[in-house]
Amino acid sequence: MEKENKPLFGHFKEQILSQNQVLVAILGICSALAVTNRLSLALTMGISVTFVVSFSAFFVSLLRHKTPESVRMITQLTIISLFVIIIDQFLKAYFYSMSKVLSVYTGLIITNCLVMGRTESFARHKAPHIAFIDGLGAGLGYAIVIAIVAIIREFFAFGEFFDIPLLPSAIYASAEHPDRYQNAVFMATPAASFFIIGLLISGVKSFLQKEEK
Amino acid sequence: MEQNNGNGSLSKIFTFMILLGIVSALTLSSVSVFLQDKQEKARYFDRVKEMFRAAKIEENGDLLSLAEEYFQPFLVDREGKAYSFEEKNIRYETYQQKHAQTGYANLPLKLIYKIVKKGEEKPSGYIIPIFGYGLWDHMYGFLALKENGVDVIGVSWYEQKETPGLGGVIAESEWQQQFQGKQIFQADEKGVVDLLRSPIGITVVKGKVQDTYGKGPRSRSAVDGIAGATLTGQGVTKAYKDTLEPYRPFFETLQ
Repeated sequence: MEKENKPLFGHFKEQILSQNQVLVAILGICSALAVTNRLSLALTMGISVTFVVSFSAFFVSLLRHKTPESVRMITQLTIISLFVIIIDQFLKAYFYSMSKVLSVYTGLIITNCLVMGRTESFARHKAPHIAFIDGLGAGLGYAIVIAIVAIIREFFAFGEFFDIPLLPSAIYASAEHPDRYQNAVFMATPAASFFIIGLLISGVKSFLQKEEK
Repeated sequence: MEQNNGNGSLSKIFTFMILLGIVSALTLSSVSVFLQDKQEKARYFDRVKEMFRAAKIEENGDLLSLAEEYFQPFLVDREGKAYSFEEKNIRYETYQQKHAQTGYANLPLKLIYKIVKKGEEKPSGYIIPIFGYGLWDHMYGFLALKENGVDVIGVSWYEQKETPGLGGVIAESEWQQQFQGKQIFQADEKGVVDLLRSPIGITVVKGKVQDTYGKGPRSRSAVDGIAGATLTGQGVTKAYKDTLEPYRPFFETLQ
């Protein structure tokens, strides 16, 4: 049986910051680039990934003594796909417009490397409840990061927060005042999140280094 | 073949995988059955919403019952004669269910909606269900025309599987905005429109309309393409052309 010294909550906390999947492990970047131009999208994605990774980790761990070594990856993929399809079907039923915008990206959670990263490197060695908490932390850590990116991008690209306009329309450029403020179109493109995530990674890294000293 | 793979023999592996497969399949089918009704409703509601978007009608409240007031379905035959569903003794729901997959344009009796605003007798426009093939899959949308059957009010796509961020842009309102005021009958170089012979449809050009047609008469039936989505653009062009052509006799009667 696995020895467990760390308190349960420790796994959770670790995943949020010091072992953050996006900022420290640099996993799950692809979807972090694609679905972060709106906070509503990023949150839906973050919650979906959290659901998928925590439950997949739980079941992978539950089956860890039964799973034959040679097919363990296929088993993990089956379990992950199962939950991804469930969340996709759920979004289609209750949040149709959201699932329409997310389109293929919900299905692509299957290939989000952080999910398989947690099941393969952690869940299959630990007890189910620990794996679940670890997955929950990993998912939420991912959700927080993409939400931050989305807040920044949405503000500069659309001048909005959660689809609510923040900037008064008076400051915007119009036909009469062409030299006034304009939304940064660049921030609406996926390339913008490259830079934001890059800055976040370097920020977290220097913060963690300082903490170690 | 004898194999020892940590956790057991080949038959054990097979049993495990088969069991896993069966349990997963059962779970997914029950989820699907359980959510099907809800999904169907959500999809229908979305289609209605896209219809309002194509017709550029802003409405709040119960869209489903409002749609029944605004958009009245009827049928046109190959000669352009219009019939109501009652006249042809066809149920709208069954007709729609039967043909929604493959589009209505090539049927002997084609579906079309008239837009009737509250308190008005005459239709202020028409909506044609558009069907075509994109790069990846079928595309379904609407095209709303003014009562003259020539000028476009707006377009929308309610079901398409084009690449998000590339071909998927066709479903975004910024891109669809360009269609407003375009004409589905393409004028020739002299600017003459002949409803009998002019090519029908709206061309999605590669790049900007201005670079292709300048400000000439043909630019009135063309819209800017999407960078990196030439094939989707061609699919959209073909969808409008193929879907609108069979309705041509009907548009002539509107003049």
